[in-house]
Amino acid sequence: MNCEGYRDKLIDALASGESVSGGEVVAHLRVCAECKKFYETQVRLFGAIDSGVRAVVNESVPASLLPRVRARMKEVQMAGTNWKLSWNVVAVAGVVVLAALGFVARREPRPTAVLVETAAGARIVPGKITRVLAPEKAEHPIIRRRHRESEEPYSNTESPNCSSEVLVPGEERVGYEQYIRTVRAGSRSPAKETKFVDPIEIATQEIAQLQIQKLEMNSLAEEARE
Amino acid sequence: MRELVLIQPGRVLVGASERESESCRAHREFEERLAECGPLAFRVAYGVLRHAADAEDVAQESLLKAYRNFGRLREPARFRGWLVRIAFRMALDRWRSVKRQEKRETQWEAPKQKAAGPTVEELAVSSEFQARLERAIEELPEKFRLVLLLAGIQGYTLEEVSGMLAIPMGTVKSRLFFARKQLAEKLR
Repeated sequence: MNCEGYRDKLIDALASGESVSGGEVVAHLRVCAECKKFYETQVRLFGAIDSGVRAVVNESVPASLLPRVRARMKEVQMAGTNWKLSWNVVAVAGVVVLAALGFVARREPRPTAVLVETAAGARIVPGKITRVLAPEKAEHPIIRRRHRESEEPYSNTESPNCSSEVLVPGEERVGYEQYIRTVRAGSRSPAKETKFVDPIEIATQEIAQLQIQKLEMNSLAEEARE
Repeated sequence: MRELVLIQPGRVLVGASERESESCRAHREFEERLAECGPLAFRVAYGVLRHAADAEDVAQESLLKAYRNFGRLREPARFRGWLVRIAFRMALDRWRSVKRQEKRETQWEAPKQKAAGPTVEELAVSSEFQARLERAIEELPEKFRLVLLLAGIQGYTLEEVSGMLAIPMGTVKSRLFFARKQLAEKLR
């Protein structure tokens, strides 16, 4: 082995932190002055590297580090609590909004009857009050086709702003249906045929006078005396 | 059909208190480790940055990150290695951003003079050799660099470095060997 080979072995030994103990390398160092000098230089170099690295990493720790970390940890804890609190507030607000929506929805009247299609193309809702939907509002394809075939202005109201729904009492449903058919056949406007009747007048006619038999009337003064 | 739900208020309370006690326990455990591992995080950061204020900031951020995620750590025995990696990564990020900033400043501004003169200790440490050594350390691959820095920290043996990084002892030795050899080649 020449000097280069010995020097590589020397460097490997120093880099691994081991002492040069190989008999052949030690023997060469005894006889080769240049390699011995190289070895001494390398020992100093590796020593300087080690001390330099130690100087880099063993810097004294500032006393403010741990207190600062502890203070930040408290902040993190507080932030976590605030976050939980804010979510609780959001959850409560959500529940309140849902309850309010539910209350409003319950107050609105809801139709409970089933829609039935009639031959006239109208839709009738059986129930306490029957709701007859005008064909304009009906979305059934048969009705649309009929409308297109007849090619006439298809309205049972005089003005477009008028409501196209008519409320009919349940017992008059069949009669109204027949009436609609008659009107269609004669191509008359149902609105023109409809007469206004004052509901108060009807109510006064229908409601009988209240008559209570064997009703005794005593004044409070008499009762107190007794 | 109405669905019946069994509500157990006592159990809910127990669960909440368990969670709270668990978080308290985690906080206590972290506090116990903080005194030991805080300086380690700082030294790793300083080894990369070689600037005390920056290293302190990085150590603080890495400790906070570890604190936030302490509950997710499956093996608490690995805490030191985990923290060291966090600190090392964050320090490298900081170092890169500092370098980028320096580069921008040197491109657009006239070179600035140092504000304060070095102390006696700084003069001793910041010799020409030390500056060359620090540059050489910067150029080392990250995995060599981390092992070199950890092995250089006072009080840590190679076995501890191996346990900390969860790598075999042979790997630690070989990384240290190549790190020292590369440094010697650059400084020769």
